[in-house]
Amino acid sequence: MTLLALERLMHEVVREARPVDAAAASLGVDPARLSIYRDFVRHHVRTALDTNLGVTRALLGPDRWGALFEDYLRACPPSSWELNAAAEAFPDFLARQVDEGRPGLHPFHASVAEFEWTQFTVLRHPAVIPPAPAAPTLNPTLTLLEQGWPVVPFLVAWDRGERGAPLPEARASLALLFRHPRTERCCYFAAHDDLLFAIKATHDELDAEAAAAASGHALEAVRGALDRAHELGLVIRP
Amino acid sequence: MSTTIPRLGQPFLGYGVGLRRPHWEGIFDHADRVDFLEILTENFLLAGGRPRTVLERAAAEFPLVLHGTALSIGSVSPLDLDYLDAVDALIDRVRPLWWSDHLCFSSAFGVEYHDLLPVPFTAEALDHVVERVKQVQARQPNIPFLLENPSYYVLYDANEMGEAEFLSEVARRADCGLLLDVNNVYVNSRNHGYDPRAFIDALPLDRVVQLHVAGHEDLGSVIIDTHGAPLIPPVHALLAYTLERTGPVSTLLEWDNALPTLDRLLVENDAVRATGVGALGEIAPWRR
Ligand SMILES: [Fe+2]
Repeated sequence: MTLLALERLMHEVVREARPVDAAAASLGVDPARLSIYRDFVRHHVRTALDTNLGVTRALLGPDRWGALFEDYLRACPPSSWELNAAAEAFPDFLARQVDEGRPGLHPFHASVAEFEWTQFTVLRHPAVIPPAPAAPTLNPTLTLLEQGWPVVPFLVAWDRGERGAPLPEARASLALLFRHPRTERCCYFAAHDDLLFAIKATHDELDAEAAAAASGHALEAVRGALDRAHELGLVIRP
Repeated sequence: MSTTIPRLGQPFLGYGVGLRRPHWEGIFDHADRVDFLEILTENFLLAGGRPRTVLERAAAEFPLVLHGTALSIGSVSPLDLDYLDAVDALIDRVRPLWWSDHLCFSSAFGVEYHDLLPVPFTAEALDHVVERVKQVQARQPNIPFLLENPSYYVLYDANEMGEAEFLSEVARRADCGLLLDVNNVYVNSRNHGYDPRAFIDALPLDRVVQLHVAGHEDLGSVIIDTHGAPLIPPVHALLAYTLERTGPVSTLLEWDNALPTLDRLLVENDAVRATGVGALGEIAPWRR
């Protein structure tokens, strides 16, 4: 048997495109042993989804989650050496399932999945947060996520242990996600005027006085907004 | 058989452990019980954030080696140049003593398996693997590449030679090092019914630059290489047997599943060290 033919057979086994017994006979191996590989490959993808999309999984419940996983495994094979990236295509896959009217799914589920995957990308964002910049600077890991559903307040409540709340109403929402400069955890906030103001002032390299003059806001309020953005880790100061 | 400089001239790093996330905080307080660290290459390729911070500290405070699972040296699909570029960038950043991956294919036809599928021990596969090892080595002429013997659960009908012969020929023809996983030898010897000592005797031991040891799970009908338990006494005995023949070779404890507390990991590393010292005597490890 050529190397190509052998690897094609093994590929079909782990992609669950060929029954193990038939492949085992062709390879001259014990089917029970061969199935170990099929089960491991499936398990790795399942683990990547379970760990990176934990809230989505909990919202959907074990039956719906398990059925979606089966279809996802077939539709979206992993293509990156990064194991976590096996979960990357799931938010879009879930959104398509919602669009196609799959029972038991809600567009909010797809938004939560998208949010959870974005959290992972922020955690691994390649930017280095400068420990001591020359001037106030925006956290370079800042990521803006526009969604049709208010995911942030839902997740804040979820983290407080409020798990039985009804799904929220649709509402255009902008979330700010960034990696905290000290804890290196992913922080997220619903964008509100003070945070957006601090982002714009820092981006435009305005100090509190200049930002107050440019915006017509009271200096005290501008200082408060800039201090708060710094405390959150959104703005890094010298 | 021995015509090369032992360990390809690489230093003896002593007794080390794989750096795993739950131990990121505490490991730096235990340089007295851990001589070197091995990191899983793929965990640090996208290294922003916490992984990058930890990696930089690890590289500054310990001798460091890289160990990958995604190279897929035996795959019929082309080498993944994006992956290799990322590995090169990581190597350039942390300057490990060496880097390693497994004799296997872990991706093919555009799909990543995130597992180590065995290559057949055929002349065709041998030519293919030799060619690819030469290609990856050419990218990093100053950082040695080691190929590890994986555990495998099936022995293909297609095999034309034994694993030891295959590995020896790859190492000789591609002029690479070997990472000899002693636990994998034990697991394979039980799963496929051969003498693990004869297997080790058949390898070009002067090319062995690093050893792995780990625990496994015996399910009765098959032993699974879980890296999730302490070493069993026969693996300690096989480690001693190996070291008595190789001389001092850097020995690394792998523990990847059911991760223990740092204390438990250190106790296990002490046990590995005791076996090593029993075989070799006390030998001071190389430090940066
Ligand atoms: Fe190993």
